[in-house]
Amino acid sequence: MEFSDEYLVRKYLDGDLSQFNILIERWQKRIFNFIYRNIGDYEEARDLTQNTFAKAFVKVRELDDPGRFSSWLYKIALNECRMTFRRAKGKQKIPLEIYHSSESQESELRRVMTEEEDNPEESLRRKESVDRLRDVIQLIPEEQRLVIVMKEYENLKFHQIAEILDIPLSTVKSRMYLGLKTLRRLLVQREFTQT
Amino acid sequence: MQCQECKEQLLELVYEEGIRPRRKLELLDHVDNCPFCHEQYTELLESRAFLQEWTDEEPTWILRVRPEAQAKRSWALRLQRSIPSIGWLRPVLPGFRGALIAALILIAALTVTQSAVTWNDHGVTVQARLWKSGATAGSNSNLSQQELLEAVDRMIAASEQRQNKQFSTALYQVWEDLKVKDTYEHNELQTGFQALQKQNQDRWEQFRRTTQ
Repeated sequence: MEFSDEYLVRKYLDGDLSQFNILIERWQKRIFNFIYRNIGDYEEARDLTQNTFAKAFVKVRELDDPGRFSSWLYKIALNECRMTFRRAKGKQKIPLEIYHSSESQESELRRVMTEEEDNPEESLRRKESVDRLRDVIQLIPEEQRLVIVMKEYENLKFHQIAEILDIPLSTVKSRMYLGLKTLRRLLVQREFTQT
Repeated sequence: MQCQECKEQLLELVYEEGIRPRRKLELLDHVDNCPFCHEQYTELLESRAFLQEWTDEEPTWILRVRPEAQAKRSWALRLQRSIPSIGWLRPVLPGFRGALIAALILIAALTVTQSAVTWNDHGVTVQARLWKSGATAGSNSNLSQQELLEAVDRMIAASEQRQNKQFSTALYQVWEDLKVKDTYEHNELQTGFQALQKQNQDRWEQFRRTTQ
């Protein structure tokens, strides 16, 4: 039987700290992927995931409604992403193609290769496709990208996204619409330039 | 159905969220028959399909809470539980914080301007003096007994230098009066001092004219 987030949070607050490990186990993959898709750097996404859970571990008592643990966790992850965006804005603009260090690319390639050792060609094709998508997604304006990632990959409802981002529902929808349009435009542009 | 109407609900149609089955059929019917809306709809679906290529990455690491951190946290939680909750304070906290900030700014401003705040039956009076400039702001400026004595002292020295015996004698008298009258009202002292300054200035002008 799987306990609800609310139950685990309450147990944690009652002093059973091991319950937090279950929450981490349950949410770390989703939070990591949410951050990774937003910032596009595997190593940094891992560090930010760690920060997110470290903050949640300490601040969980401030959570008014333990039933909303997941939304709250996304908010912390979102703040981590936004801080990274701000830091990135302060830095000199780096061409996106060399944004990922060769080391992280290698480690990523190694990871994919071990996953699909039987079919390295397919693995490589998939990697290239994901790399291309990751690069394109990074070019979408930040606010639109956040909504796309939440909707498309986290399968959140529009009203949940509005709650996490603290914006009106209509704004969520317009950002989503514009984001998908931007993505489409970027895809056409890149395909045009690459051929 | 108008295209604008369709465009407004295109996202709901694409994600099949928050849309009634009958409405969905109406929209699909419009999309099938309108080339512009059909293109928009197709583009959104294609963008979605492209996004789906990026499947979830499986983390190659596992996060765990360190046992020593658990022990520390356990103590912190126990301590927090022993303190009564301040949840009821949350709604008033923003207002309280604002008032606190305003009060701190006011205190800082009064300190910087060396202000004195007094109140009586007629209301509150704020007397401000600029830092070490000697200049005063507002009509009710303020000098301490000691400062007045020093100022008169300087005027006596200047007067003696100009050999204006009559004025020096008058100033000595003022100095003596100031020394004795400890309970002199500040405003009264200030008025007297200003009159004295003017008198001194006039005499000095007169002296300068006669010696030229």
